[in-house]
Amino acid sequence: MEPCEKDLLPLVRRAIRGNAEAYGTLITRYQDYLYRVAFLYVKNEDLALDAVSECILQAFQAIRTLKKPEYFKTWLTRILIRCAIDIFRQTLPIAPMDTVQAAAPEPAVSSEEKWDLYDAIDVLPERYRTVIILKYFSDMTIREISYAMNIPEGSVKAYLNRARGELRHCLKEDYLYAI
Amino acid sequence: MPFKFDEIPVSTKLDETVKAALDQIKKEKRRKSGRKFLVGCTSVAAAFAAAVIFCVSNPALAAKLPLVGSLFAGLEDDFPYAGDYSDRAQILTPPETPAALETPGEGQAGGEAPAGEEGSAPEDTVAPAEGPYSATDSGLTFTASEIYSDGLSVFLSLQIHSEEAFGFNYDWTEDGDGGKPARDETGNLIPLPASLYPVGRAYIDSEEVVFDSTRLFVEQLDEHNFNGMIKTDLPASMRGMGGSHTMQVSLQHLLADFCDETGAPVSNEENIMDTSLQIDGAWELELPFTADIGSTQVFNNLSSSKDPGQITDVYVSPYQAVVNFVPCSDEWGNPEGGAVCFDENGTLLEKGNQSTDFGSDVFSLDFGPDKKQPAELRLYVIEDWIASCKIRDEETARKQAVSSLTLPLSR
Repeated sequence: MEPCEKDLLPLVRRAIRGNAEAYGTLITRYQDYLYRVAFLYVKNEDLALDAVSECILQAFQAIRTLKKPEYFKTWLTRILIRCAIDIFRQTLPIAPMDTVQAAAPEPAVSSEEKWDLYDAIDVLPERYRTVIILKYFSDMTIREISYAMNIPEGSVKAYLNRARGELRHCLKEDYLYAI
Repeated sequence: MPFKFDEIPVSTKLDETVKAALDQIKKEKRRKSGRKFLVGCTSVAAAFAAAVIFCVSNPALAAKLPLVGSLFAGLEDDFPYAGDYSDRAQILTPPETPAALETPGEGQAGGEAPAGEEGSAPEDTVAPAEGPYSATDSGLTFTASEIYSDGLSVFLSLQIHSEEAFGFNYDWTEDGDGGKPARDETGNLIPLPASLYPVGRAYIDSEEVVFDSTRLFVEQLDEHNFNGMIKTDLPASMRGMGGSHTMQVSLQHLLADFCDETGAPVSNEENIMDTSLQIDGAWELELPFTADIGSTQVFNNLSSSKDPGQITDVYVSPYQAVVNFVPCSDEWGNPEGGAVCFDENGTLLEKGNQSTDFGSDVFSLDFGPDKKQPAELRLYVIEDWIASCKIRDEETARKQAVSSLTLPLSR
């Protein structure tokens, strides 16, 4: 498992000791990745930037509790997801996340229409959307997703199966095979 | 993969946003560093720092300092693991090596003349005596000095001796001003705890435990010698129980970060991102210890409720408090939550560096010999772990808590 490149581990170790320079180097290395993951959640430039900014601050505050340096990227992703969800919630303060249909509501899509995954994930409940983003956009393994979401690997697989079931209506055949 | 994650356009404002966040972190860190330094100047820590400066500039004399058998007492002030375990620790390697014949006072204050030329001398540096709790390979010797267990964790002090000279461990980023090294009033570089990372595995009675090298804290005595201590948590099955045990430590690498005398970090020629140095080898240590639970208080079954946040067990030793609670749930119904702890005066107890999984938190205490222990612990469980890390005052904890408990301690 290579959630964090080996050549970055020394920097992670320094960052865990509170070295802000090392932490800054790591963040710079991952900033595009962080932005893209955040954008997948909030689909808005300013909100994605807010999520990245908040993630950077929160992660440094908590970095001494990171127990395994090799999990840095996954751990950072986990914090980013939380930040993105919090910010997304602020834009939709009433509906619980699990029931939110983030962008286009499903009835607006006929079975004939074929979305790509980028659009399709918006119709998923939060937990399914998260596993899809981490698996297919962040390229995480099942084990890494398990760590990022703090759920058992079996649950990750179950969510993936269910998410794929939800997506079946709106994805092209090619994508289904790819999944 | 048909999904073009990398083609999601990145905001042109991202660089600016990231820089602003990192600047905020550095600014905050500078502020804390400055405060820490001012406090340190009037404290024992400053005296210790002066001693280390002395050692760095006088490696031969540094080698005369006691190296084994009494490391805890010298290390405790500079490390986040509270407490001086000296009075309770089992001495694994008695201080009988030539390097340790003098007392700390004699070695530091007496100013005994070095055996060789000042600043030269690897040959002046006294290698540790081999013993049953030493392991040597690749020119590197690990010597276990003292070991102590409070029934919750194992605290181990180590001496590390290298035949080859290392650089010095100045933190060139601490003052945060353009990467210049931090210097004291006389212009000398301020040495900070060394960055050594032994990589390997540890077992207690054959049960593997997390041996986290980032939690090893090391002081550099000279170019060849380092003293350090590490805390390793006991497996849950042994927590709060006494008895004799054996800790096996099996190391495969030693990584090190250091700087040259100008304060510039020493780069690895093959990979600039890598540590300054990596030494491969095989070092095996087998260390007997007895869990001392005489001063450890165990509070089991505090709540029979399975409601989220209910505090179930608390373990209090003179050096730490471990709080177990029923995990809360996050958005996905998964374990979450963190505990916050105050004493009877409303003083926040810092979370330890080795908080375990969700549903358990560790707090630093220090009421060893001659120190007054808290009369009670006030515990709060917060639904969100990150929020629990942010809390600094009891009122906020009270407002955010999903459960709380005041625990009187016996004296």
